[in-house]
Amino acid sequence: MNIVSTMELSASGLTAQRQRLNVIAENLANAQVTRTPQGGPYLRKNVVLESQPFEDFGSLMESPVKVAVTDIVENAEGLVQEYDPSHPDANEEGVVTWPNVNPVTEMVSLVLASRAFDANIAAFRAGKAMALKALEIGR
Amino acid sequence: MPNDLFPDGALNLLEKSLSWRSQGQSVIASNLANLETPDYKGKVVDFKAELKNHLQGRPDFRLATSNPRHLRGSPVDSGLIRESEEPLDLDQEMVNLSLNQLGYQTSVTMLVKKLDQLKTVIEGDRG
Repeated sequence: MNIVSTMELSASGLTAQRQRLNVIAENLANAQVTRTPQGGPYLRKNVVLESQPFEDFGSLMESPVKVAVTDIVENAEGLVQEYDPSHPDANEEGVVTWPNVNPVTEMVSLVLASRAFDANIAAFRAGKAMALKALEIGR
Repeated sequence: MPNDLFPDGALNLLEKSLSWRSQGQSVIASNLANLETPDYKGKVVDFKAELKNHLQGRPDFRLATSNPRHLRGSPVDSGLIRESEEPLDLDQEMVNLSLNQLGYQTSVTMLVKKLDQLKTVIEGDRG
């Protein structure tokens, strides 16, 4: 496996973390939304990361693997119920269902995703520096 | 492959070292990309162990030749990448990344110096 494909591997990490950041931003933006096109409150979304073989037959050997977002799942657990009969989206009993987005959890995920993004950039830079250094051979 | 220019095998060793280091780089990049992937096991390239094996002259893995007309093929880097027993740690990976990069640059610098020596011998005191 050469350095250039290693840089592509780091790029897969960058893409995956950026998609994760998009989903976190979506969750935060919709944290108070009680109306969605499919009806009901907004449901918190989460990415599913999966490692994938990078080379042909790579899964047969202990070779490096890239990462990809394979799915974005919605989670309906922990929806917040609140009694507020004056709210237009309250049901017959006067209870409003709020999204299950916890801003604190989202902010922690945001920082983690951002750190992972930085780590991939560092790996990319290291690979680039190594490739440039190799050019010095035979100069 | 015997190397007649430098009988101490330094060029050969440095070339091997570069190949191990670039393998190490892709392993570390893979670990960093999969830092938050569930069920992902960290991988390592044990540079010290590889160097020891090489210096002690452990034979390379090659295709078996049961017939003199069989080709042996090039050596395979089998067993170079191992699964790590410890859980993935971002800080540890960043340290490994720096160490690996430093090792690579050291090997390249040494290789350049070796080739410079050769150049000096060829050119004599003409320069």
